[in-house]
Amino acid sequence: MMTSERFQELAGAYGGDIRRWPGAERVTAQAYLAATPGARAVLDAEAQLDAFLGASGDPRTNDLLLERIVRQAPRPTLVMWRRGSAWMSGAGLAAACVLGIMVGANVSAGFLEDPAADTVVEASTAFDGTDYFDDVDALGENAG
Amino acid sequence: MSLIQDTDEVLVAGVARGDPASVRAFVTAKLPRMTALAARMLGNAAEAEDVAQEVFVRVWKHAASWRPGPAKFDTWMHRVALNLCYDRLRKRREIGMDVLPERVDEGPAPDAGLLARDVTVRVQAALNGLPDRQREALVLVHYQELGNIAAANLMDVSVEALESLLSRGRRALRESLKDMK
Repeated sequence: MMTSERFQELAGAYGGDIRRWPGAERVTAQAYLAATPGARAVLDAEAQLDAFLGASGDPRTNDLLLERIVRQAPRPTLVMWRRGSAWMSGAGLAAACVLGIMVGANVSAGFLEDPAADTVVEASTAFDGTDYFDDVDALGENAG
Repeated sequence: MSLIQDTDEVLVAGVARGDPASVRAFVTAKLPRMTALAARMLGNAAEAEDVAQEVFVRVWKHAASWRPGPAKFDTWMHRVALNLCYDRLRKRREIGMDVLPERVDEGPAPDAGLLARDVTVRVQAALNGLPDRQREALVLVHYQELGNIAAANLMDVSVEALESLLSRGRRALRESLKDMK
């Protein structure tokens, strides 16, 4: 049953539009409003602030930002291995490994000689985003 | 289970596979929401875009390991965004920039009344002046339209405490905006 005190609490917290109130209390609030002469004034007292809050529209989406974020998304995983495929035979795989090691050695040597490389490595290791996800796990947000 | 949650789960599964159509649909749906949340928490549009982009970096990283359950992916994204916002608010205080940027003159309005843009600026300035937790409660419930239980869980408070934050926040806003008609 809705009391006068609870009706005022709800209006003070959620505003003058009962549709924005917690679902569990909307029906009793509507019944209280219909049966209580002074209840409308409680809602009206919140209406102007609701209007001000509602007039503050959402910021416009930046299309360039949207495209940048889309470009950063992971690419589809390619399935390269097919049973019986000649192009990924054992010999081919071994050759690819040797080539990879040779290229990797040359690239890393050049990279490590570059003073800017240290800055890049420091920057990438300085940021640890795990704190955010620890918080999420603690709240059970990602629980299965 | 709501339609929104269903849609999110389908899109997140597509994102995890790297499906370009799912990625675009997901960003189109969630970017305005994340940008709005951060803009209202930080009172700064450029920083809000940085936060939104950072949220998606984490989405790309974690979408594949997301396990659908009672928790909504949207709520998880809110938690990440809020943590990033609080990180920035904390750094502002550490460097002595305690006041949120984009504060505007809160003097009386012109007689001719307020244009919509003026109202937006005044309301954001009033929001900026609230204590962080009151602002967070109002942004989550009024603007992001989270349910009271979801918002309370997100803020790690009881529903009663959430309602207290909302009431105090609204009272303070009303006081800040009392000259507006």
